Parts: sequence; structure tokens; C-alpha cells
Amino acid sequence: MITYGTNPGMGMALNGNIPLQVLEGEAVSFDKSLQYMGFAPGESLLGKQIDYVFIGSCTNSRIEDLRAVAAYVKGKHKAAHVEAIIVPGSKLVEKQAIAEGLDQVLTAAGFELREPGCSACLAMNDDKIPAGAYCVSTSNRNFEGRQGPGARTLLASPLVAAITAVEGHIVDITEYLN
Amino acid sequence: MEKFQTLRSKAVPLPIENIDTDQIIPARFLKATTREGFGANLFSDWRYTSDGQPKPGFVLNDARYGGQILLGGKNFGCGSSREHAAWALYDAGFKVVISSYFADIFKGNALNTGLLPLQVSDEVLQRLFKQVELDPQTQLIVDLPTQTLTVPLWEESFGFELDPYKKECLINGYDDIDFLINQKAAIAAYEQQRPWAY
Repeated sequence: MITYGTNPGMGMALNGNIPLQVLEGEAVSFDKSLQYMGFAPGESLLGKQIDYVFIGSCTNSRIEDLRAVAAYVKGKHKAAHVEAIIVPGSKLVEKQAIAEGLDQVLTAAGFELREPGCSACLAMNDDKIPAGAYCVSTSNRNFEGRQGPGARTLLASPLVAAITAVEGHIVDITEYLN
Repeated sequence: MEKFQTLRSKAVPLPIENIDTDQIIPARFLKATTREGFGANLFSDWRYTSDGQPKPGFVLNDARYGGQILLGGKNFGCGSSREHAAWALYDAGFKVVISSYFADIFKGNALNTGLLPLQVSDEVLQRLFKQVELDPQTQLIVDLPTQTLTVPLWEESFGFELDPYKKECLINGYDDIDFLINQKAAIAAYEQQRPWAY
């Protein structure tokens, strides 16, 4: 699953297509959303180049999430053009990740491990995504400007985010898991 | 909190659905310790360019429109729980937001701020958008005691629903604590009837 719009309800299967039509009475926000994201109705996101990957937030950066990410990226490396940030969901999660040696695996794969906090889920501190850049994020909010003014957020699971960081673009993960 | 009885005003139309709290007040402006001053950053990313100049296409920068009533598309105030969204609207001078649906948390925050979230049908909302865009001078009258929205030009009134407790608070300018303090005598009388309990 991945989102293509500017609210969490605007989601679809990874190998799906952005809808051509929307519910009656929501056309204004649908068009505005796609314009903001730089996508067209009916488009597929597969192959779309991504600039940032943010694995963080209180919702999807639990120890289980970090284990899943580490298990996938072990022995691999993030794509050169992607900036990959990992922010543990809490200080406790960070401690546990270090105890399990996950930090070593993630750092070796080119992910930057940062202090637990809201970080790029909210963009209240310096962890911001630049205007126009695409970010696959494991947070649960993708409103306009949520990750910084003009930032374009695609919400996805930690595993999808990990695979995207390695590949550098959106892929159909079912091909990677089988 | 200020008392709210009746308001006669023009309205500012923002015919976009699903206006979320991150648009109403972006997170980077939330670092303040008082409720005042958020109005300057209301709808900041829609209202100003990145170098702080007003965007000519945005309704709050359009001299034709003004007033203390904001007309917003369906599902107004969705997104992050953020009381600053209601504070920013109120601080910018709005006393009423009219929409055909309000996100629940925003609605609660608005009522606690003294900002009235007034829900009308989709049909009435669309008529209001058209009317205000056609004639930005159109007056609307919101009467809280009778729970009616009147459009004098149409000679029509529409009822709206409101929690009776919140209605009493708005009319008297009470927040939750003020309301409780005003019940002091009744609370004392109740306790006297039950000396074994208190």
C-alpha cells in the first residue's frame, strides 16, 4: 500500500493506479492534491524516483519495524541519490535497537540514525524535506507541507520504505518478497 | 471567553474539501506558549509565498472578501489534533466557520475557543459559496439563541444543531472551568443533602 495524495485516505496498492475519478463533491481537493504531488489521474507509481526515505514516527518505528527494516537491508546499501533517515519511535526503542545491534546493520546500509522524536513526521525541527522532493515516509500524515513547505510525502510501511531506499524508486514489493 | 449571541457579517469563501489542520496552521508555527498571535500565520502556505509575500490568488488576500464568517468545504478541520487551528482562526478575527461537516476534534477545539462551527447541508453550503462569490457583500446572520443562520437576501433561514451545554457556554462566554465555577452554589446544595458522603 502507498499513498499518492495529501490525506491518508488517498492510498492504493503499490502496483495500482491513481484513480481517474473521485467521490462526488471531492473533485476540488482531489485535483489540488495531485497537482501538489505532481501526479496525474490514472498514473502508476512504479519506477517513480524517490529522494528521501523517512522511517520514523511514534506509529511506525517500533522495534518490530526496525527489525523488519534491518533484516531486509542487511548486506545491502541504500541507493546513492536517496537520503535515508531512521528515527526510532522512542528512546526505549532506540536502546533496544542498539542492544540487538540493529544500529550497526542500518548504519552499514547507509541509513542515518537520528534521535527519537517527531522529526520529519512533523517538520517542527530541522528534519525537513525540501520543496518538491519526494519522500517515502512511515509516518501516518501526508498533508501538504507536513514534512516541510512543498514537501511531497508518500506514506508506506517500514518494509516498503526500506526496499524503496535500496532501489531508489517505487517497486512492487511482492516481486522482492517471493 | 467572549460571549456569542448574534453575528451579522459578510463571509469569506474557501470552497475546498478536507481542509486539514496542517493547512490552517502549519506545525512550524506551533512553538508559542500563549493562544495569541497565531492568526498572522493562518493558512500560511496558501496565503504567502516562501519569501513572505501575499499570494494574489488566495481568498484572504483578496480585498473583495472580508468578514467574521469563514465558509469552508466539507470535512473542515480534519488531520492532526491541533487546538492551535481553532485559535488561529479566532485570532484572525473569525467568529463562525460554516461547513457541511466538521472533523470531530476540530469541532470540540473550536467550541472551547469561542469559535462557532456551524454545520449546514451540502446543498445549502454550495448555494452559500455561489452567493458569496457572486456578491461578496452578501450579509449572513447567525443567531445562537434560536440556532438559525439567515440569509436576508434569500429571505431564508436554516436551523443548525449544537450541543445544549456548549450553547450555554458560548452564550455566556464560559469555558469549561467558568461553567463549573458558576455551578458552585448548586454543587454546595447538593453536597449538603448528602452529609454522609462529603
